[in-house]
Amino acid sequence: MPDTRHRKKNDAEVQEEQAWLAAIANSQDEIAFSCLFDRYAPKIKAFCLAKSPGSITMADELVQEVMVKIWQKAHLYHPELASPSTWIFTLARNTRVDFFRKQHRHQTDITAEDIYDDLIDETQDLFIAAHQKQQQKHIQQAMSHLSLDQTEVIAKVYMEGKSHSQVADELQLPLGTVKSRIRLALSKLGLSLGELL
Amino acid sequence: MKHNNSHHHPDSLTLTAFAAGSIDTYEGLCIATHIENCPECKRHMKQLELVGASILTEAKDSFVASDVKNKTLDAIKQAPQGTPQPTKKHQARNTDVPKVLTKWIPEGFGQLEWVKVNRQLATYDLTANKRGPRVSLVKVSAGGQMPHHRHSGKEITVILQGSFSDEDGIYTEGDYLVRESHENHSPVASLDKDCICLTLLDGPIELTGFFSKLLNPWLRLRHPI
Repeated sequence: MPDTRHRKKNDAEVQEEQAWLAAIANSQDEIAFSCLFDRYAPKIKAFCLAKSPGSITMADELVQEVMVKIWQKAHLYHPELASPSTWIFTLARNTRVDFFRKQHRHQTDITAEDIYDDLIDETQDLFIAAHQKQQQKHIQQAMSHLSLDQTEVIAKVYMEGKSHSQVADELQLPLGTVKSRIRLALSKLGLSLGELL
Repeated sequence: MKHNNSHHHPDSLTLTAFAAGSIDTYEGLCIATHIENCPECKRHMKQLELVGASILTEAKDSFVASDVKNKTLDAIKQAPQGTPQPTKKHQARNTDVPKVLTKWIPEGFGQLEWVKVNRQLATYDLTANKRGPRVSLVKVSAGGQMPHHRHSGKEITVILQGSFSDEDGIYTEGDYLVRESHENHSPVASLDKDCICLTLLDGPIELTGFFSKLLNPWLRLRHPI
């Protein structure tokens, strides 16, 4: 039975998004940008709201900031290295990390760019990249087979940006239970490191 | 630090939190320092970003008002596109400093104003923040012993140069180690080379040896949490 909860991104959509990014990079195409905005802005907003529900204004600001970064950095996007959604996820993640870093009581001068950017530039290995694009399809499929418990903790870590102990507090579970659910989920996604569950 | 064959890595939960952006940037800096020279963890982290991409694209759409789009379209007209961002990275020249750390150590380890703790031990703080976790470099002279110590929070160590050993084993360049609070240990640097580590401390260190106890008030002053 087809699972309608998780609509997979099909190849045509991915190619369309790659074409939009190329048009933005090569000819400052505002129409392509507008299409990309319509597709991703509602997702990015959901991503930002998940961390801080109720802060609509802040989420809108973050959406704008991420979309402007997409515009400015489109020339740095390499279709052979990552799918548009992966690239956009990393921009959204970094923007959100910096946004909350500035609000944190222990302000730090360590930015998201400082910690993530050097890791991007070096993965220029096309063979690995090709393998990972295959893997993305596999992961999307496997996500729909996670148990509700597992989906819940993974979503809290990724969407809500919560630490493992915050997740444990919120779900009123022992930290060990949260950790083993995440490990089980990773293993179902084919991403465990061979550590003991 | 060259490509390494480190044997101690962040665990997959830590890498997941890092890829998800659900980790503070202090710890992130330590993880990034390890990953930069660890192809295995780098590959794993890229895979964990794919999970993030799937979650993002399958998120339920949240309504975005049209004025947000209009504002964004206005903003991109002001935003210079394709011009290189001002480079925040200082170009490290022939140093062994991992790229991730060159913002704080632009001229190499030798040019830093190390603060001597004793004959064998020197430190240099990377973060100026008086509260919050503390990220520092620790340098132990070849063959030198770190005072026997105990700490009250989590301690992360990434070896940038040289190697050291403690009661549990030998650690070499690139290794990423986590010690939970109240573990007692006394690392010794190997004989051939000074050992330089990046460390993150969540709570103040306490020295437990008789003489080194005298240093405690001084250390607390430097870790006033």
